[in-house]
Amino acid sequence: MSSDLDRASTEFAQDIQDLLETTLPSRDTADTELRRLTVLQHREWRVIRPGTAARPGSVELLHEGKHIADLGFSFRCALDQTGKYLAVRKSTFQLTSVQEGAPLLRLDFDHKAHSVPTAHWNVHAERGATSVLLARCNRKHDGLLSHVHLPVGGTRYRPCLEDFLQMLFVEFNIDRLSGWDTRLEAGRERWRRCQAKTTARDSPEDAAEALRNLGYQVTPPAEGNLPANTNALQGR
Amino acid sequence: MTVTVVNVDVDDLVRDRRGLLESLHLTESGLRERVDNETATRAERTALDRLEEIAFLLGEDT
Repeated sequence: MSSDLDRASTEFAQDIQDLLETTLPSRDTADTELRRLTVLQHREWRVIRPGTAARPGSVELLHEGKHIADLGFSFRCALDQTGKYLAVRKSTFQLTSVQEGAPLLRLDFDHKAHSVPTAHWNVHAERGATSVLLARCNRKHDGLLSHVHLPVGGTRYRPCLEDFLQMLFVEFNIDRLSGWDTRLEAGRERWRRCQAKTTARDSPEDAAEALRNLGYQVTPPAEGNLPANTNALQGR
Repeated sequence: MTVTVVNVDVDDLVRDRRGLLESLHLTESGLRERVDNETATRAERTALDRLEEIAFLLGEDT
């Protein structure tokens, strides 16, 4: 099992490394090691992120060749409940300006989150009207927009790293390599196909019905219909 | 570019965690409070990321 996990996590990390190499240009003077991803392995747990073993790093983002921001990200993984598939337990994507330490945007996923949505944006862009509304309606809240958790589709429908990169390229006009769009589309398709399979496992009867409506012949297993994963379907 | 794979052991992780907090002169909750209040430096944010990943790798927060 450990070798399967090692192989799956290393392949996943290499896919991300290749994604970065084929979409994000680097400065000629930059230390290329800063872009190299590290896979940390301990027992059944895996962490994938840029940086050295002892220090998390980030990937430089350029505009007109100048370093203006950083992309930080990490994936914390383990095998899923079936013990067959690599599952991301937690992930973070964040954009930070070189001009200040706090992130501007952060997309977090935590599969076991309950008090906040499992997948959510934190937007670090304070506005007085938001703070007033929060303070007026929720006295327990500190009034910071950055502490509001904006839900984005839960575990199955959350954005992938390709979505985050495309936002950086299209909205922030971050430098990118030619062919970036094709690369992102291919990665997004791979992510969504994977999630489609997982979603079918969450709700087998719905998946079977959808396939029958498309003309497929679908037969339930001998032991009868499999139960839906209501935690996945109801969780925010 | 090929990714780097590193096997870490418990002793390394525990030593890193202790060393990080000693170098910052903060407790983990104090560090988290500074990050939450947006008063943390970039180095402190990186340190908190590292502490959280150490907890994950040790199976304390999975």
